[in-house]
Amino acid sequence: MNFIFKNLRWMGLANGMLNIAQVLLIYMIWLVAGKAASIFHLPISGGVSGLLILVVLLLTRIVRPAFIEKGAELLLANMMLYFVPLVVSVIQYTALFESAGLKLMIAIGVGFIVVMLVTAMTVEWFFQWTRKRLLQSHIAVRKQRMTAPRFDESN
Amino acid sequence: MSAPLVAFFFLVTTITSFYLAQSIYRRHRKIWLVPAVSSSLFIIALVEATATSYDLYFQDTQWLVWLLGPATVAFALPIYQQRKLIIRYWLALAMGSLVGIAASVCVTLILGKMLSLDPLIAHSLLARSISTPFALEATTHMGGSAQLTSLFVVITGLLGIIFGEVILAFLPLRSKAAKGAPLGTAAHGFGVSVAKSLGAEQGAVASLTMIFSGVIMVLLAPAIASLIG
Repeated sequence: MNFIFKNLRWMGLANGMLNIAQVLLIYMIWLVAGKAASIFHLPISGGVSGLLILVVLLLTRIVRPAFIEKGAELLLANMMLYFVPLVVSVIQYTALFESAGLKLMIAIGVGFIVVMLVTAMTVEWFFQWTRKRLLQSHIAVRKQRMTAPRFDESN
Repeated sequence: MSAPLVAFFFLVTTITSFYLAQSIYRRHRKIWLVPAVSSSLFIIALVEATATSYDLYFQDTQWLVWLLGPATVAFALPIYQQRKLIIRYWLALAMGSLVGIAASVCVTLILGKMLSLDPLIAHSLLARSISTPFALEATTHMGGSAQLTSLFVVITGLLGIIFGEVILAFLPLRSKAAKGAPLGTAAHGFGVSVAKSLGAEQGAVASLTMIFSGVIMVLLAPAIASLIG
């Protein structure tokens, strides 16, 4: 029993180390991508260029998903923590929120509703359009079958 | 306490209060208990009570913010995992994200003029509907402030949690994708959590439109910046 427990603990530790190693791999990609973007004078950071590069590496199987999976999940699962320090910066802007708070809420609220509506309608319209086209092509095929000379299938 | 010790204390407190808030939120799903909000409120109260300057608070906690960079790269994983969904819906996802961004920028510029907002604030509002790591990058191109933008991003996300489902209920939407997509474009990570509660496909679509609109916004930011002058 004790033996199993010891083993489990070591496995947990090994898993933890593995996850950290995967985070470090993603970190390396971020560093290299950032350097590459600045060398080629691209107006994007290592974050976005690294994201695009990693997608390509995964699709071409140069990097296997298992190599980064756990690390990526670890980084993404804790993302809310990373911007807490930025939210705390609100203490520097109390005067701003007192003087323009209502205006800000109107701007953010109206913006939010418009973006929701516009995106929803665009995607919905798109789906209905493709559905209609699919239906039309089915009808066209059926019509063709009706008009085309029938072959005797019993032969 | 000496200044470096105070800075370190706040780093540890920020991390522990976040995980504490997360474990509380798992048990009680209330809007005011969203970890990013409740832990922020706690830290704000603590910083104010101890009369600590924000610069000192940020001295060590900036390393947390710095992690947003590698986290952006990690978004490659969901894109890879959902590649079949992307191949099937790529045009709908790309159009939804693009139109969402266009609407967001237009409305923000118009409202900024109508409400006569300060240019710095108006520019910081431009990237408010996309995920934080993308928003921070886009906003530096568009002349906004990183701190203000991240505040607006969180406020927008909270609107997504409170009103997202209600707004969707008013719309005659039949496809699951049309229910997920707007939550991703309008309310980023917060919206994705709402979409996941609606269903697996809605959640997947929302996370994709969130990433797509983030990437598109960053790529378009220099062009938008030259447009608004």
